[in-house]
Order: sequence, then structure tokens, then C-alpha cells
Amino acid sequence: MENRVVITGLGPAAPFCIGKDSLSKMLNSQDFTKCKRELKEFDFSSFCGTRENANTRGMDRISKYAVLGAKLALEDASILLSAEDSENIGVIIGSAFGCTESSSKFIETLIKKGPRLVNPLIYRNTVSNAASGQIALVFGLKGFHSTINSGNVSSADAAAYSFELIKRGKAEVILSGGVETFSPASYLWFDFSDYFFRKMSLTEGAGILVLESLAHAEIRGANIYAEIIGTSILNAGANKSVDALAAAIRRGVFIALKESGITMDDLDGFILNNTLEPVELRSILGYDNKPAYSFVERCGNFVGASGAFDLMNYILFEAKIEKKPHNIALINIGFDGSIVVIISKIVV
Amino acid sequence: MRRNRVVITGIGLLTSVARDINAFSVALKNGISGIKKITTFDVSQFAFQEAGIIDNFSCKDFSPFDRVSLFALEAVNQAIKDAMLEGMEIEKEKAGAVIGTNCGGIGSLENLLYFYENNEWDKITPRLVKEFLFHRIVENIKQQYDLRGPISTVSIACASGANAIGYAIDLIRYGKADLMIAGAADIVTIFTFSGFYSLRSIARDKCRPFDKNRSGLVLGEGAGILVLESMEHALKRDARIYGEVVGYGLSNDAFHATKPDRSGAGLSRAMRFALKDAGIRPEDIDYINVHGTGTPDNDVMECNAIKLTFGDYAYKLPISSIKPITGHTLGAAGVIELIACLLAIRDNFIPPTINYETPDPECDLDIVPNFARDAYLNTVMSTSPGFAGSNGAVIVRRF
Repeated sequence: MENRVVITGLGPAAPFCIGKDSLSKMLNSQDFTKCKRELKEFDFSSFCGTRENANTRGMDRISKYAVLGAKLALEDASILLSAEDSENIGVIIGSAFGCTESSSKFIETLIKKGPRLVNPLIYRNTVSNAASGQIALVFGLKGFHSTINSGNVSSADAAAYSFELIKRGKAEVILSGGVETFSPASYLWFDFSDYFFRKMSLTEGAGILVLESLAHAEIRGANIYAEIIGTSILNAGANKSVDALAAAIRRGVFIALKESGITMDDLDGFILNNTLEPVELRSILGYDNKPAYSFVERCGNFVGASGAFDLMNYILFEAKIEKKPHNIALINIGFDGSIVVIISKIVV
Repeated sequence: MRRNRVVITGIGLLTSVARDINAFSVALKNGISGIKKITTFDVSQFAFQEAGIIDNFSCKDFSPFDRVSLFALEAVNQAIKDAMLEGMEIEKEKAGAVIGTNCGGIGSLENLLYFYENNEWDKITPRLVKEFLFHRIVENIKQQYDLRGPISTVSIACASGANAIGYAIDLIRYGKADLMIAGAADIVTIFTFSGFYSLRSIARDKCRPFDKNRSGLVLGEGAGILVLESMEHALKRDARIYGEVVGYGLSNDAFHATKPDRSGAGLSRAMRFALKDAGIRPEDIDYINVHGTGTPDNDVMECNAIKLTFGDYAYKLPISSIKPITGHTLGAAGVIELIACLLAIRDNFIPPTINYETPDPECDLDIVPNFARDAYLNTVMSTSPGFAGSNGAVIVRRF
């Protein structure tokens, strides 16, 4: 038997919002320009309610964002960890640049001081699963574990993978989503990339979702935001033309619709990241009467965390489609022609 | 619930000891080691200066790519040829790739930051900047073979390879792809060498898994790639089948950022998940190719994990580590060791744990010391515990 998969917790952690309420306030404010603030360090211990210890002192920024996002998501889902079997709770987190910031710090010491004076405390953060490992460690989550580094679609890829695992009964609950922080190397990456010219406003942060089986959510009386009903993951291939990308988007939407058991007519709208304009999507999919939402103007682009963050933004956005429930397709497009489509039935 | 069976139809590999699977099988059988003095970067400041380095390797066709992509592409080329897919019409929309890596294009990141720190802007090229991203390896593969199905990159330290195989088989099992190129690649640079040295994980002399006098690991580099197909797809094109991937499991210790949980509970969980996924009993496993890094903690942890999972049967079950042969190839280890399992099934032998001299009472399992053993194997497991508490286990079966 296949499990139905629902979203029961939202954990946004970014320089302009810590938690669902502050994100909702910002999203639904008329003057959203205030959110574009300078990136700054946040007081991890006071937000997380943890005392400083050897582990938290050694965490890098990406791990801190990830742990904070996970804490907020678990709280929002009202999951009582002491009542759960920790083997049934997994962690799958996506990030485009992953541990690049810590790796860069480590390399800086290598260059300036030589290989005998490098810091092992920094080296432990130079694996890409350091952030997801810290979530598992801090909250005692011993189940399925993975980290996805699939560029811009990382968090959507992580959510699609998590969906499949819960659907097939390999986990009951998965903390899924994305996290991103930037360093000079990542800015150089954008500087040399075509995407820079899309005038992206980059944003750091974590967008963590609690995904769980419907049966598990119902037993514990959880508040359900949405049900994920179908996904697709694919690529435009070697041909980098706009036509090839358009064909791949059409194919991705079609595959996800097929898995969802609905048709294009049943789809009420789209969530896009800023690699695609609504007008382009209308032309690609051949429709002109479905709304398309993009939150880049309000929140900036979270790069590898953008898919999960966009889904969360839509759930909290008051000016979304009024019909309840309604079906919405997240179309996340990567730097390299990767495409992840996630179709959700929104119930709030 | 319909679930496609997944088979292995092509193998490609690049290691310090062998650059194709037949040479690798010979090295495994005879316990030949690829560990040698490092010549690819300066290690003059370190007492121990060896690793499983791939020297004299060049790939003119793809020269602008990071070395890790070159390794991966070489292994992919071999695997595609081995699967007899060259020139064959396949549905590219149903073909994808999942690559695991621990460090990705770390060589490019080192160079980029060196030029950045020294204001050598003329040397910072778009190619150099793009190559450090983890996803770049699979992008380069996708571009070369025009793959239009799912492509993804996973990175959970030493368990990255196991994760890549697991994710790829799930994509085939549940109909999202018919054919996947799955594997992992990693390189050794001054970054990894000095990092492991700073953690005091590098061996004093040799890698000696399960030996009482073991002192640490010896790094290695390489790539291992499998062509995975749905059984239906493989049979339809009459492909040669090396084996079937029947299950995998991933878990986390939730114990410590770098140290393994010596009780073995975390790795045991990944093994149990894999057995459950495969729908088999512990007694069905004939051999385990373990991670066996040669660090004091890891080897005890793995023996405990096997005892927890297999009970009394653990003492009858042969296990071995090929790390002294290949070096610890980090994210690639899980796939290179799974290839060793497939060759063990094909060529009817169990690879030895070489460099073994002094028994350790805490590692009292049958570790197949020093010499290969003839054996007819049906079902084999590969285990991969890693940094940040990640664990992976993959099970393959004779087809």
C-alpha cells in the first residue's frame, strides 16, 4: 500500500524572518522592501534555546541555519520527539553550495599559514552533510539520512526524494528542504554565470518542511497544510536552447500530473522561481488563465533552498488562490537545465 | 505496489591500483596495493606521505574539467562501453545519473581561492569557477551523454556512493527512469590530506584494518560507476547482467559530528533497513565488504554493528576491507567496494584484508586476513559509515 504524504510543519529561518509568523507577516505586508536587509549573524543559542556547548560552538553558519529551521519546523508541526520512534524520522536537506563557506575558510588557512596549521574544527564542517548531520545530532533523528547538492533544485529534489520514501513506507516523517549560505566563492560563481544577469537578489537561510505520512499525521492530530500528490525530476539534456528547456518543462509537468492522477484542467496555478517568467510559462504550457506566483521580489533567491522556501511562501501567502483545496505546481528550474516539479493539494 | 527490479549491466572504475575491472579483480585476488608516495601535491611537511594516488592520468578530451570530473567521466565511459550502450538507441528521457561525492571539485576551489587571495584575477576563468560546485560532475556527465531523465548529486561523506546507488535504484524501481548511471568520485588534494592529518586520522605507516596495532587510514582517490537498468529494460536489449541491487539503507548515528558511535547502533540500523528493503534475512548474506578504514574507532564500531545485526551468524560471516589496496577513496569508496563485491560474485572469491598481523580481541570476526579465499557468493553487502554520523549499506545478489 502506498502512503499519502502531507506537509505538517514549516521552518523558515532567514535574515529577515525567524519562524512562520514573521515570514507570513513579511510576505503579506504591502511594504515588503524592508525584508531586503543586510545579512548579519544571528544569535543561534537564544533562538534555539540551547546552551553553548562544544558542539554548537563548532557549528558553521549553514549548520546553524539548518538546525534553527529544523527546530522551527518541528515546533510548528507539534511533533513530540520523545513520543516518536527516532528510527522513523529522517533528514534530507538540499543545498547548492553546501559546505563551500567552511571549505573556503579551511583553504584560506592552507594558503596563508600552511598545511600544518589548519583547524580540525573547521575541517569537520567541510563535508556537505555537516548541516543535515547536525539536525540529526541535535534532535536525535536516527532514520533515513541524505544530503542533496543538485544546484538550484537541491531542496525541491530533497522534497521529491522524501516524498518517494514516505510514500513507499521507508520513513514516517522526514525533515526535508534546503539551506544556503554564501561566501566569496559562491559570489564568484554567480559573477561568472549567466544567471547573474537575471538580477537575482541572493538570500541566505533555511527552509525546512516536515513531511509525514497522512496516517501518521492523523494519528497525532496534526495540522495539515498541504498534501504532495506528485513529483517529477528530469533534465533538459545537452541541448541548452530555450526550446529544449521548454520541452523539458512540459514533460516535467506532464509526468508529475500523471503521478498525481489529475489533468492540466485540475491544476489551479504555478509557483515559479525567477529563472522563468510567468509569461514564458504560459507560452510553454499553452494556457492563459492560471495564476503563477513568484516570491523572488519579496524574499530574494535562496538558490538551493528556493524550492522548499517557495512552497512555504505560497502556503503562507494570503493572496493565493482562494479555492480550498486547490492544486498547485511548484516548478523549480536549475542552473543546468534540471527541473523538479512538485504538485501539492493546498488545504489551508 | 509495483516495483521494478534493478540490475547492473555495466561497470567502470578508476583507482590507484587498477584502471579497469579485470585488472581490479586481479589486484583484489592477489592483495596488490596501489598505495604509493604522493606526487600530485607537496607533502614534504608531513611524516607520512603516501596515498592511493592516480598519477600519470590525463584526459585530453575533457582537459578543462576538474580532476574529479575527469575521473568520473573516465569511469562512465568504461561503464557505458561495458554495458554495450555505445551507439545504441536508448530513450534519453528515461535515462539519468546520480553521482555521489565527498569533496566535489575541491581542486578547482583551492585554485580559485588561491588566485582570489593573491589578486590574480586574470587566472580566474569561468570554467574554473564553475567546476568547484558539487553538481558539476553530474552536469558534465549529463552534457556528454545528453541525459534527459533525473540527474542528482548526493553528498553524505563516505556514504555518498551508497546513497547515489540507493537513490538511483529508487528512481528506476518506481518508474522515474529506465536506466541510470550511478556512482561516485573523489580526489585527494592537500585539502583532504591536511584535513585528515589535523584530525589525527592518518596512519603512521600502513592501513591495517582490524589489526590491534592499526593507527589510522590511508587516503585514496578514484571513481566507480555502475550502469543500472530495470530488469525489463536490460532483458529486452539482451544485456549482460552482473547482478541485481536488491536493497539499500541509510541512517544517521545522531551521536557525534565526526566520531562514530562505537556501539555500532547507527550502522546496524542502515544494515537492517537494507535487509528489510531487500526482503531477506541476515543469514542470506554471504559476505560483507566493510568500510574498514583502519582507524581505532571505526573498525570496532563496524564489528559491533555486524554483531548487532547478525547475532551469532556474525562469527560465521566473512568480512573484509579493501582499503589497504585502494586507500580510503572517501565518497567513492561505497561504489568501488560495491564493484569489488560484484567481481567477487563474478570471479568466485572473497577479497582479503591485507596488512593484517596482530589480532584485536575487539575485532574478533572472520576478516579474511591477507589472502583471498575461493567462495561461491550469492548475496553480498557493502557498508559505508561516514562523517557527520551518516551510514549506508547496499545489497547485491547474483543474477
